[in-house]
Amino acid sequence: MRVNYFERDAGGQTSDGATESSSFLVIEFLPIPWAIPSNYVRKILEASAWSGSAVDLDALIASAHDSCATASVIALESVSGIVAVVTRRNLRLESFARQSVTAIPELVFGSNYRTSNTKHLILPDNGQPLLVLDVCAFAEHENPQHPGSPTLSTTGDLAL
Amino acid sequence: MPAVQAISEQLLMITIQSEKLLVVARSVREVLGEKTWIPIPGTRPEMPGVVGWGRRAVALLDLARVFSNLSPLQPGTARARTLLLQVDESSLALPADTVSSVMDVAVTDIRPRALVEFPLCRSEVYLNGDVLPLFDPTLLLKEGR
Repeated sequence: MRVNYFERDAGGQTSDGATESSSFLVIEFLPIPWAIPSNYVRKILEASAWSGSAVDLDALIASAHDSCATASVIALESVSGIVAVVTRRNLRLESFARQSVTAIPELVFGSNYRTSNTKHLILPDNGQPLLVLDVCAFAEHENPQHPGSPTLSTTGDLAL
Repeated sequence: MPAVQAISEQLLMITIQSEKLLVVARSVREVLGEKTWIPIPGTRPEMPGVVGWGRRAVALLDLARVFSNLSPLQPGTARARTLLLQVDESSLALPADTVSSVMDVAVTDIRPRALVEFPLCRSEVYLNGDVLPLFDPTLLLKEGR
């Protein structure tokens, strides 16, 4: 599935409806941070407040060692249902210009393209690049048949 | 009117560590300096990441990963030159240690691959006593499909 990260994003719209920027939840992995389109982020809470299962994002992605002290659970909602991920990395919300989001050429993945957890990259004018988590592909791997999808009792705002 | 047969081909020689190979000059869109690259997880082995070029991400091709005797590029390292190749609809960034100026090579010195072991070539070039592979990026694109 090819994802339009902007179709559900109400932020930063111009008067003619075109989206100029989009907001992402940035997870400070090293050497390259990952970014989750915030329209997929249903809720962020401390790990102690989460009773369901959660995918350890640090174990999947981390290649360096520094981390923040408190584990956060991020509930992601996509067409595959809700998938919770847990991370000890620092989090921040950041907006990037729409034009700075670019596709990673399919060529680099070869036959792994469909299952890759990232298919886009943010190349800001200034600052370091970020990898965009393909939430739909990720959720499909981690929650293929929606078994025991956790439900959220509230839809709270991003609590950063 | 009979078709005009080319008598020479314009080639560039590049080096990657101890290996030399040739690239068809018309496939080279630009020769840039050292470019930092962005590692991407889950890629095919010879394309470990991308290079940012303007607003685009261009596939990075590390040919050291095709030769068994060379050290691959590691995250945070780069080579002095980066060739931007246009291959069909795709662009490739090819880091190299050196890039020669364009050479005219007689087509009679370009022969079907027989001696060189480099897998991404169909032809080899007899040049100044050496037999060098003529890199054919279309083989790589074909492999990736």
